[in-house]
Amino acid sequence: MKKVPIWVIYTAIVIGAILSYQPAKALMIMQEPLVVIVKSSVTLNFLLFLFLWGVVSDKATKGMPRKKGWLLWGIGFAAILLVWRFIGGHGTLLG
Amino acid sequence: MKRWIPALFLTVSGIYYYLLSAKIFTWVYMSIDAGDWLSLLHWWYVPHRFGKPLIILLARFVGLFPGDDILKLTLAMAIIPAAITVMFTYLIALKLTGQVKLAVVAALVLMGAVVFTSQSGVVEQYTFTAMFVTIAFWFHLRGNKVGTLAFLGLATATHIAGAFFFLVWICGHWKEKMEWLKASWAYVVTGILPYGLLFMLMANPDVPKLHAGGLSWQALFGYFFAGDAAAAMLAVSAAPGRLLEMLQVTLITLGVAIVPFIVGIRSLGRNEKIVIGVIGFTSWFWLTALYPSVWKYACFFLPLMAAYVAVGLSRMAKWHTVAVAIGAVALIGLNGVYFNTDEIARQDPRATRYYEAVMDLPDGSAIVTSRGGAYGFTVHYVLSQGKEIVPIPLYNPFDTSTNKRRESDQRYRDCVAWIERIYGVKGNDMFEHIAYAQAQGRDVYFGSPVTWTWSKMVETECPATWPSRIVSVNTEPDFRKDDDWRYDDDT
Repeated sequence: MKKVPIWVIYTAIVIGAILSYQPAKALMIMQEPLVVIVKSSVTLNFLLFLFLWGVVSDKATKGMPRKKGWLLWGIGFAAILLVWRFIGGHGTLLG
Repeated sequence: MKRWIPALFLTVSGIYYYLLSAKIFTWVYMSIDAGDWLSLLHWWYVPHRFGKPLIILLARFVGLFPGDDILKLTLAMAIIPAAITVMFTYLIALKLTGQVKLAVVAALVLMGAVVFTSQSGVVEQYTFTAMFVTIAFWFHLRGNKVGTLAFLGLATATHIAGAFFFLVWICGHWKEKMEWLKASWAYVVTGILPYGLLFMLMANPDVPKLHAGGLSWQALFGYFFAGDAAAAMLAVSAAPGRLLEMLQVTLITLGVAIVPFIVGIRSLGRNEKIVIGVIGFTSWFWLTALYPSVWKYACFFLPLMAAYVAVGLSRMAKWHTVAVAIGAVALIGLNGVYFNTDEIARQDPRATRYYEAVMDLPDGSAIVTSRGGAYGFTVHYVLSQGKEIVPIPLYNPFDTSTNKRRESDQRYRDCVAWIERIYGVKGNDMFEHIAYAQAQGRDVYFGSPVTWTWSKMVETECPATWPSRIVSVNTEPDFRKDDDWRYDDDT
């Protein structure tokens, strides 16, 4: 794959920064104490957790037959969820 | 080594941050905790969780000196720590690269980082904690484990994130865990023992029980764990917006320095991997926390990022150093014009107006106030200065989904007992307090916006302004009458 010239990257960053200046400033100088917050039962953290567990279990089950690997993946996943809910993880995993 | 350069950065950045800092009471940058910190200048008092014992001690010490509250505390909590952090960023970059020129660029990159600059100009805690984390890393590079852990402890005594950084440090050096554990007494002394101050304050009946309660398991649990969790609660649907915010804030914070940072972070030494942990943990929190103000947490890792910009530049052609230096100086100039906190605060002085409105309430009146948040903390600050008004804790005694009464929590009961003891106003809930205060001949004001929930319970003279005098209360509200339920943040 052809490498992107460094001057293109610098130019893109400068343009990005110029375009970002106003919206980022609006976010940062905000002082309104009452902010509407989107609440949901599915959190981004849960997706991150799924991804992380996927990476970890993929490494842990390397070389195993596929069915056994999936079974271990599922058991581990369920176990972590159960433990998390049991210890009352403040809903940070599943919302 | 040019020994005057660190002192120069300390002085120049200190003056720069001072000039931009807010000189009036403000909530700019969502620094809604300002009133909580300022109360500590006048009161021994437990601030919002997780207590921050070192900030209590700092504010109590600063309170001994005469002068303007805002200036004193901004200097002690934000400006001076920020300037010290710039100096240590220079020293860290010098240690990592051995080149004065690159260390100067690293310090300039931090000075141009708008997230860091913003927090150096308001009554907030982030640069204070960042200073300790940065000094801890400086000790770490020098192989001084006791110094590293002592400063991580100080970071922990100012912000609970320090405890996670400590864990990152220990996990990052798992093979040498015994050596680190041997030195961990320093962390216990500076980071854990100071939290004993909170228990002492909670146990003291004279200390205001407005936020934390007394010393009991229920009150401690309520203080440390109850309430809405913000960490890791961001909904998936809000994630694209948060990612965009992160990108925008990062672009204007680092500018072209992003490129050498990526080069620098890819060539970490064996002993430097913990930088990934600090940046990774803080970025995870920024990405997944519920509140939109969490960009401020980037202060914790920006000094380390700036140092690794220098490392990256040491592996790149010389023209990159010139480009990054020009970019950093441009950002310092731009932020000086467009992020002048004092000017921004004066253009939108709603915090000052609210503070003055509470200050202007007639002596002897009462104010129904939340025990936290921007309005509540501002009322605490006014009370701490000796203003003769009676606080009535805002508490919804009803479950709004069933209309049935619910039991109050221990912290509320502790607060009620404290108010009765100090102000002689009796009652078991907000309605009884209002009635009692009115029977005493006091005017009772509602201290915060009359949102949907409160509009069912109180009627004020002017709902569009606050504080506003309460004209009537409804002790049997029906929350189910309206179908147009909307999210209603009571704090």
